[in-house]
Amino acid sequence: MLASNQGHNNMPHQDQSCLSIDAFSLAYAGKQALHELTLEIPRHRVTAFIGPSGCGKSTLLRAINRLHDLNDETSHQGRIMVEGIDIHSPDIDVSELRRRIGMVFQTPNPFPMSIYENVAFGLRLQGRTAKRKRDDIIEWALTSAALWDEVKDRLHQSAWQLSGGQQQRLVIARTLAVQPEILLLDEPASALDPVSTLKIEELICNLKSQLTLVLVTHNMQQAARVSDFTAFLSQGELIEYGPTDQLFTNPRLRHTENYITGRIN
Amino acid sequence: MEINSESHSQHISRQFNQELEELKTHLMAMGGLVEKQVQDAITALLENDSKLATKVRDNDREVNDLHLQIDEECTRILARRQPAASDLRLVLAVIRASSDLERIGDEASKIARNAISLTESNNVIRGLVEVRHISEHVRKMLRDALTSFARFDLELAIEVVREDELVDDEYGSAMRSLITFMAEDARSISSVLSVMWILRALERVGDHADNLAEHVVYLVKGLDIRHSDPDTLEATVLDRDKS
Amino acid sequence: MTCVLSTTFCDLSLHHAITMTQPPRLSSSAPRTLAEPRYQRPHRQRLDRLATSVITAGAFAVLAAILAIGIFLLWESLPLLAMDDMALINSLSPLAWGTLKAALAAMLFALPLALGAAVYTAMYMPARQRTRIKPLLEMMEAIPGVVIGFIAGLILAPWVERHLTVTLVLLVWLPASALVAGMLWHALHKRWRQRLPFSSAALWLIPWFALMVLLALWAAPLAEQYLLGEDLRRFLDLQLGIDYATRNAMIVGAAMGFAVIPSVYALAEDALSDVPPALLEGAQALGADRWQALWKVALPAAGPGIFSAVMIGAGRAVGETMIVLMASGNTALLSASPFEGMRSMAAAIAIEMPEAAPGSSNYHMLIFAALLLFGFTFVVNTLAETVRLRLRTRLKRMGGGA
Repeated sequence: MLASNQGHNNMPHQDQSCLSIDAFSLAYAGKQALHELTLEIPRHRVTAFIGPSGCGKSTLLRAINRLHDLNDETSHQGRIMVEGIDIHSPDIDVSELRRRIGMVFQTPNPFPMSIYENVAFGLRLQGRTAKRKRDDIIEWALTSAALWDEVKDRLHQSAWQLSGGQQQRLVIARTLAVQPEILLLDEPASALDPVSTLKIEELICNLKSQLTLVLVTHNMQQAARVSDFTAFLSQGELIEYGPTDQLFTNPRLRHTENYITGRIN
Repeated sequence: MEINSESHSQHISRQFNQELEELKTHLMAMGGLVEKQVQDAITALLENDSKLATKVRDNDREVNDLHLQIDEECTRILARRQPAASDLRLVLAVIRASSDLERIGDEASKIARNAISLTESNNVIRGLVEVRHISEHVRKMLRDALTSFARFDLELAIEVVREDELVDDEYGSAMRSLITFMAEDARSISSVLSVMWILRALERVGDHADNLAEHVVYLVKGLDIRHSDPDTLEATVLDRDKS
Repeated sequence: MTCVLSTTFCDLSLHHAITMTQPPRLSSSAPRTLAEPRYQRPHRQRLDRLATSVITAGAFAVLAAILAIGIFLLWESLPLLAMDDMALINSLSPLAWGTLKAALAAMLFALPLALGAAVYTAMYMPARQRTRIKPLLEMMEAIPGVVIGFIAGLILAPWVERHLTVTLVLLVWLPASALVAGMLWHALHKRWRQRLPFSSAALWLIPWFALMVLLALWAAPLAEQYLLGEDLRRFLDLQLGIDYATRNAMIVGAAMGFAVIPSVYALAEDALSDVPPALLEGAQALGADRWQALWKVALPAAGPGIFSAVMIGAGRAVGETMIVLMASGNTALLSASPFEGMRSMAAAIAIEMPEAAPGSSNYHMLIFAALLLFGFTFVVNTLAETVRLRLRTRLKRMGGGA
């Protein structure tokens, strides 16, 4: 289903779409940050958002998790649908929504507690789980995040003692533990060294079979390496969205071309 | 997206602009050299000039050196710049084009070697009319292919592709008449065979020129037309042009 | 081999870069050579050294002064060793008790207010309001203790004595009414809730509290009449046998609490604001609401900082002199009643020192009290500061700058 070299019309179909963004606009303190974005994000694929700083890629990602709710001064139009449900509809439980849509941030942010407790955090929020079952889930989450072997002997040490790359994988494990359907990654490797970055990228590719991933990155090579679809945003607008293979060999628009090849626009 | 010949000089990194510019210049230099090789080889044959033919044969080393140099530059750009989109296509097209040019160079030296053996045989050489005719055609193709590469000219490239079919037809009929010559006069067989080799080499030059034109289409439009039907080509390449 | 190749490549580009960008000259004079950089100019160098030594001398002078105070106090209280233990305990224990009682009352009053304010401003208030409120609250610290003590002793104490019921009712009812306000807010229609957002609760709670105070002023005397049939003070005195002093622990607690709030607030707020927003967002992204994020992530992360804020506040409350002096009645009692006064060590020193003859036992005892105060504040402040700095570097390293 990925790019053949001829067609431009191999975009995800409606029925493969897990997350659909429909004419979504967002204003922050009266300033328009996103302009009527429309795109379908396919299930069990990695979709990357790229674009220059301040283009709104992170804002869009945070909007999917309704993190902009935390601010009184934002307003939005249009819809974001997760599996056909409008996330802004009034009877949506935001906590439940955020459990279904995990998010990983730029700087690793483990909580000031042990490795075990970090991964158990989301489970504890949901209520009591039998210790046996919780242990199983934690082992599974840490294994999925390719961290289990490195930390299994020190689960009860502070998470802040881990290296940056390990911390970021711990954060991913923490998110996986509540079994989200979508994982949003906001420049997850930009604070890490090259080897840790590769580990995170490998992890992203492996997680694809379990959930849908959306990645914001300013590293174009990273987007090219790990994503199946790429959206290029600029100044709050969606410029081009297509299969990564096509976008990085033969983009349709000059604007995209200039950005990904490092030309003066 | 379609690009033009200016678009490789607009990078934020001026160093990168310069590297791509040099790459194109070197390819064009190689193209010019190869074009001259073909022309000289044919001239040597038609004018019975064995000295010129020897020179052509020896100059092939220069072509090979240029080929190696361009390949190395491409490798370096791929490793250091990780080019994307049109930059990537430029580097790939240059790699492919330089290897086609190197093969054309080989064909030119093959013609020169056959020309040397023909001049040494002192026989009346038959079939030169066909050689002259086809060589005119092939040289035009090569020139046009290089021009289209230099100017990113799709229409010219398509013309080269279509010309190649003509050359193939002409090659077929020339071969038939050479076979007739051989049937008529058994003594001429060895010289006619040499001429056949020369015609064959010219036909190959035409094929490589055709390849060059295809690389131009890939470079400019991102379309790979290498194994597609020549009749629909114009529609796919130039129609999209207008949209 | 590859190395050689790449160096030639680099050499080329380096050469290119050098010819491309000549650094601009700073002055038109002859170009400086490496042998005499401008930093070696004698005049400037001398100035530099002078400034460095002045600063170093200042720092050492402060350290020396602190050390000298400690040694002096220790030396002057040595004769106490020769004294009768019982007499010493008898004279010191009411003072120590008074100090602790005053500090405890002040902390009871200040901690809920200061920590609550810190949590609210750091976690809930919009940044714009916060930048205005915070300096305002910190300015409270500039009000001299004398002024606070004066107002507490001469205005607040008599008023409270006259309106004891109202005061007690307010002490319970105001916090409770805030909870009521919260519940009412939740029951409000969504449209109204948007008009009165939680983040500006500080503004719309003011009229609410004013209303509650008026309500208490009107209702409390009625309730007093109806339930007790007489004045509460008389009731306490006659029925329960509780003495009520005009200047008592309650008044001291309020006044000194007021003085302690700014420093506790400022430090606690700093600690909470230093918690990287990424931590809170991380918790929320896992489905935690603000309250859970606050309790489970922000407070544990800022815990040491809040602890040091409380320690600093306690240190101030113990050492504070003027407020206790003016609002406590200065009666050296060993009583736990919030309605009775006390005399703290600091106040005792202030009152008795001028009259104590140097060398007398009273003099030595006062010096010993000063030594205790000095040691206590010194230890508390050092501890608090160490904890605070360690937390700060830890949070910074964790990506607080992001």
